[in-house]
Amino acid sequence: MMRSTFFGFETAKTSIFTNQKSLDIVANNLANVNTVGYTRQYVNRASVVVNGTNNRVASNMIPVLGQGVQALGVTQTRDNLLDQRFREEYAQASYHGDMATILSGVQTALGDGFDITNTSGMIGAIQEVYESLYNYMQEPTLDTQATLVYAAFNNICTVINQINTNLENCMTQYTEDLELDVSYVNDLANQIAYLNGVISDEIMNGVSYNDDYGPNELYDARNLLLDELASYGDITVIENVDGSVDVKFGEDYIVQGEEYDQMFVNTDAYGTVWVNWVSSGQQIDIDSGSIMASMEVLNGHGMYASINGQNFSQGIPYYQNMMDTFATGLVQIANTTVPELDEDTGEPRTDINGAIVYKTLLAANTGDGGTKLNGITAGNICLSSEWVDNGANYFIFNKDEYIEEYAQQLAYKLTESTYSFQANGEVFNGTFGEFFISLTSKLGSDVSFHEGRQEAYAIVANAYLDQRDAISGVSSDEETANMLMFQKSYEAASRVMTTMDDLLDIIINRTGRVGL
Amino acid sequence: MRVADRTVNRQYLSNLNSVKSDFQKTSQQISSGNRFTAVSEDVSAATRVLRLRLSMHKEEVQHETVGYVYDELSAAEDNMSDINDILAEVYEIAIKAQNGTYDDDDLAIMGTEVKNLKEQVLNILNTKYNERFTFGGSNSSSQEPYSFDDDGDVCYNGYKVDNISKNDDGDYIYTDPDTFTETLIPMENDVYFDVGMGITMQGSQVDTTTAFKVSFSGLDFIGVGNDNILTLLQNMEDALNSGDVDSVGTIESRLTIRTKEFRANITEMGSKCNFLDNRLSTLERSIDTAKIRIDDLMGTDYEDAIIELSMNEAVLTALQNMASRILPNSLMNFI
Repeated sequence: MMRSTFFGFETAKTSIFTNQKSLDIVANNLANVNTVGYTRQYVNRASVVVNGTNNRVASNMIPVLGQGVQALGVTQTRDNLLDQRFREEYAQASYHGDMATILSGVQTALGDGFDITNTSGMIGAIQEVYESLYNYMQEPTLDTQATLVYAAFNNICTVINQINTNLENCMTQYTEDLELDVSYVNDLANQIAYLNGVISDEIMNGVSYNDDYGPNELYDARNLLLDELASYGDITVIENVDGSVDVKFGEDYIVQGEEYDQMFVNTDAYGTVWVNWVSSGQQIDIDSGSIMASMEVLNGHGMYASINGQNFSQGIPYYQNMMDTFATGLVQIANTTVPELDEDTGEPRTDINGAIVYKTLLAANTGDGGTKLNGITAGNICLSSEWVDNGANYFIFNKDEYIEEYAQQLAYKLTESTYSFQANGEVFNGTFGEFFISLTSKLGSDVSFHEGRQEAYAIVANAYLDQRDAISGVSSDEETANMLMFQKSYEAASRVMTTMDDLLDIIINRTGRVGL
Repeated sequence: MRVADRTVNRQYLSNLNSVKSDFQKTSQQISSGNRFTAVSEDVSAATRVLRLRLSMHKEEVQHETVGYVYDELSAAEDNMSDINDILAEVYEIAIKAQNGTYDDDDLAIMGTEVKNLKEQVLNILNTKYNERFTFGGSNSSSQEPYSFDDDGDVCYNGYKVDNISKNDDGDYIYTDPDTFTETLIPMENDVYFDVGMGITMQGSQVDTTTAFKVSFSGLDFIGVGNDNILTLLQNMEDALNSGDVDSVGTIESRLTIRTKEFRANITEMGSKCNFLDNRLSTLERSIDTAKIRIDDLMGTDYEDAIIELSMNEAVLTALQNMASRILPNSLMNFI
């Protein structure tokens, strides 16, 4: 058996180098303990492999065994399955969270739903109409009492207009938010594709990295972007051999290696908001995420959505239609209750067919100072020009006789009897107050449902996040323990060198010098 | 299981946020007195609260209406009592006139007294409560319902009361003595108020069993035909002025019968006031019940809330201690 004189120094040196690199990585881990998206790294080490197949003849391998340790590479600890599961749950949590947030905004727009103690909303306006009519009934020939009715109906029209404006503002605001989201998703796709290119270049040049050990920091940056992307829609990540990834956003590829697609937002003539791919012009097809939430609320027409692009959610258009129905019903009742007076008979005036001629109390604002009777919406309902021009006492049936019955009938129709509200293919039979309460209840239920689902998905997503961190996160305790371990190992290797030095000192300086 | 530092931090911050949110919510509940305000926080309770608010408001308005009607009826009852007192005075004058000791001048003086009393009755019958004549049906015009025409005959809304009668439908009609043409007396529209009896309507017609009639036709009280109180008072005045004591006796007898009927109306008016009094009490109870129900549904249970607040404080303190003592520590602190 024959070994080289300085063999042990080489062995100890591999240990010193490897432990020094391990300490570097410990330092890197500790430095990034709070860095968002950072994945724990470690030095992948192995004992130096020795084989004798290079020799022409069989020889004893013992002299060359024990050549120390080698650092194979620096790797990161990551579980792709957990990434995918986390992103799925994150997309669902984002979808429900955004639904809850947006619908809460709609709830605020409706007023009473946001604060049921509020007296200046629709419930308060209905109450004011009721009260004014009952006050009017006590003295139905007085202008002052008619003025109260006039003011109450003016107020309820204003409240309906305000709710409509609030809903339109919601529509505008959330469409703009969607455009920002889409723009950001486009940026994310661009950045992921760019990183794909950098990563594959790094790996393919073969100098710094190889198939097993890639550019960890770039991986982290890309994973962080993928996590963010998952909040906007359900994504699927497919790894390629060159280190790049393909990413499907819903059913379509948004990133393929260094190539990426873009999306754009478009509102058509029917008010339907579309998010389409630039490459194909097709609508995106996703099942979760915040973009999905925005599209559902912006295009939600309820269970009888009919036009392509509309969906069955009870979104902003649904509540706009409902408020239009409310306004139409109010006009229909107000304009078919108080008759005009036939001065000759003291009875309601009739037309040539014998039908009673009613006063026009409410109408639609034409925008040029006039009013019209067709095309009533929540946005244009107002007091009729007849009522405004003739003054509040236009409401009075007969100034010389105590006729309270029409005011009583109006109050009865609005607050007691059943009116059939028909909108979005739905039918609601009840009073105006009950109709509005049912609207706020539906909205409240939806908000509550999505808040609950968001909470549930967030818990699951957080559980996956915890599991992922259990693998990928930095533990300062663990790093400290590793630091101690590598330090001791380094000290041991140094000690080996000292020992080797002592041995060589015996051989070189003291052997054969006995008696000198 | 490995525990990464950021897991600890994230969970800590998440828990801290959750506890602070609970703390804020409990504080809000205590300070506002409401367990919640948004429908989405408790859809079922909120929906019931909104419904209760609507029905309670109706009852509050109905309560005001009942109060108004009660005042009007009380005023009418007072007026009727005044008329009753006047009729008693007329009765005394009639009895005095019949004892045979007065000459024509004395009787004429009594006739003047009866005239004054008749005019007082006329004034009372033309009394207004706000804009409506108390005994004028639905008359709210500037034209008083009762008057004497140039012939000295009593008229109601412009028609001679002597020629007014009630038809089979219960409506007052005027029959022209020359042509026998019948005309419905105008402004005799019944006025009904919703006093919380579950009003129902057919078109503009109230179901009379579900509302309270507040209009009074004076004809119901003073009578129609030539036996009405005003005509009898006029006849009494004329008889006294002409010294016709025998006629005074006859008229006094007819007036006594009419006065008894009139007193029955006062009694009925009193029972209506009692009914309204009961309605006021019923509505007040119902409103109180609704308020209690609303408070049950959305009001803060202060005992629960204060205990909850104490627990929130304890948890928050524990979390803050954890942040200051445990989180900063790691193995690094011990080497």
